[in-house]
Amino acid sequence: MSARVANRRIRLLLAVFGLAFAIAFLRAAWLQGVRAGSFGRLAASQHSEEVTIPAARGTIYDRGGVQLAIGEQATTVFADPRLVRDPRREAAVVAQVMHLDPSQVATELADRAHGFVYVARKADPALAAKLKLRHLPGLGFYPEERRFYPQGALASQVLGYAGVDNHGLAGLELSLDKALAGRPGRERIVKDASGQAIDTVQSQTERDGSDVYLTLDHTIQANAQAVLKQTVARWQAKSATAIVLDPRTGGVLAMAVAPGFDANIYPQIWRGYQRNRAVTDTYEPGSTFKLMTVSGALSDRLVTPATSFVLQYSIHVADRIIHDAEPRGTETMTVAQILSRSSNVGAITLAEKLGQHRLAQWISRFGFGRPTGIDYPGESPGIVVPERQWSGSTIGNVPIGQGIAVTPIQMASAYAAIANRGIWVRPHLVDHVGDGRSVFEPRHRIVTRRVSKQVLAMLKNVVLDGTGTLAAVPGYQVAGKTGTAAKVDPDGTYSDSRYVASFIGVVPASRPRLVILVSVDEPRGAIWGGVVAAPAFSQIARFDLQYLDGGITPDAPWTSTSSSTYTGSP
Amino acid sequence: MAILLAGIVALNVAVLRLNVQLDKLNVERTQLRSEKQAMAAQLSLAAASPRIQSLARREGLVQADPTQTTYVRIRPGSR
Repeated sequence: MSARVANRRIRLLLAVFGLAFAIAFLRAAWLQGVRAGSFGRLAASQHSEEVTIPAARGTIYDRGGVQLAIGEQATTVFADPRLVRDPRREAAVVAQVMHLDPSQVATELADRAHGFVYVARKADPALAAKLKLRHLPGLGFYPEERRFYPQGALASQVLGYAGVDNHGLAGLELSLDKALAGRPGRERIVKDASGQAIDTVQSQTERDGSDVYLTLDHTIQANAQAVLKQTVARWQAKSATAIVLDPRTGGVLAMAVAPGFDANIYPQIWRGYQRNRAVTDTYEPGSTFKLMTVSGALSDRLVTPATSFVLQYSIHVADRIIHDAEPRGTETMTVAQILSRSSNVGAITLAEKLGQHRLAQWISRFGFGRPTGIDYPGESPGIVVPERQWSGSTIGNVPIGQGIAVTPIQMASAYAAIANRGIWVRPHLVDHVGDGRSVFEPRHRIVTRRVSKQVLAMLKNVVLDGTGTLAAVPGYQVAGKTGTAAKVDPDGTYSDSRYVASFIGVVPASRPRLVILVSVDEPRGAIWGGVVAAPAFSQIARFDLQYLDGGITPDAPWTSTSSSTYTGSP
Repeated sequence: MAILLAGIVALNVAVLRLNVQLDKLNVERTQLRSEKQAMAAQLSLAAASPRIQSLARREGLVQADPTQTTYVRIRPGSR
């Protein structure tokens, strides 16, 4: 081989190497320059993973520290249908272990258009563990927290519920969602080739939700619910509501609505049963509203409890004739008797003495027509006709609790003001959140101490020898008022078959500790508050007085159940 | 130089071991939290008033009659 040929070959080899290096250089520049970002991300996704650390939802406790709503560990079962070999066979196994519908599971597992489908969200961890042991291809499992209400139907309308994403959807779960939910954390996990975590870089620590302590007492609540359930069954009523309130603090010890529901199965429950009627629903209060008329007349010093009036059986107001519940002749009644015998004519006479303007002012002063401000979502302000829209007959309706719509919590707080020496305290359900202190609720004086004392004394007569004798509690003095209000029919007239029977009472009357409201919607067989609601009040009060603080000292130890006989009507 | 390299490798290995341990502890924490939640649910169920009342009734207990209850007042300082 000549030197010329050898040189040519060396040059060729050099060119080939040069070209190869140029290609390699360009490729390297392409990979590390132009494609660096996307390849970097791809690599990161293979050896590291960004995960969200869910924050544990706070627990809701009653005032004694008993858990009413807690977070519970559950397992979510999911599937990648593209990895499922035999959807029908796997579906049969899944359905059998997890107690699911096989055809529905089969449809989900056969859906190869998706790479991820839920098989069972937040399922029982024990069942999920059994399924995991079957090693079915395409199935995956991850832990999740689910909301659990250990006492089922206890205070379910008050607590509300949290949805599948652990966020509050109703009740206190909704209104306190921000505090209960906390803040999820984030961390980046660096994994080795086998998927084992070798490094964890925490970018944000999760902050668990705060615990919430309520004013509710689970024992008082359970008893109130049991009594309401019996009452609804006894009178075949549509529903019933009860509130047990501490008049000194405004703390709600029980807020019960029957029929109730188990918050653990809320999606299956009719929305109407989920409503907290004590706060969101209004009703015409009937005779229980006479308390406002009488308090106003006493406060304005127009009358005293002993002031007497000659009252006919009926009274003419504008175009209406209103009469008392029971036929009677013309009688002389004191203000105290007007209340104890629940005389419509008497209450209207007092309202006429007060005058339209002052009556409207007293109604507003007791807080009607605006929300109480209770810490529960969706509170209704009630319906109070503005004074400028009053007709000639309004002064014949409103003083006896007609033509006005109120919520049970408004009525309970108005009576609580009388029980609390004339001072109104905002009712509340939440005592404190997290380590915070109990909030001192806003309060203001409505009537003087003198008037509240006079009104309480008159209310005692309602139970001693008036329309509320069945509300008596052996051993204790009870002050209270019955109410029977006709509901409005769709044609706008008052019904003669649909009523709301109610009773609101204060115990022990000498040193009030509890205000209890019971209202029964559309009872059958009897309609009177003194017959339908008063016995339920008595049952609730009797239990609560023995239970609270180890027993409230009786203020009338000489009384017994045998003295309670019903004599009146409304 | 070799000692320095060996030190760096040993340090990295120690960090990796600690991370694996941390991962295990996190799993354990989740498990313990789950157990705590389950026990809290059990406690709440056990404390449920209707359950206690029904157990008491089964044992023959009845609700006390308020008229039969006597309250003793103890004056401060009395023995």
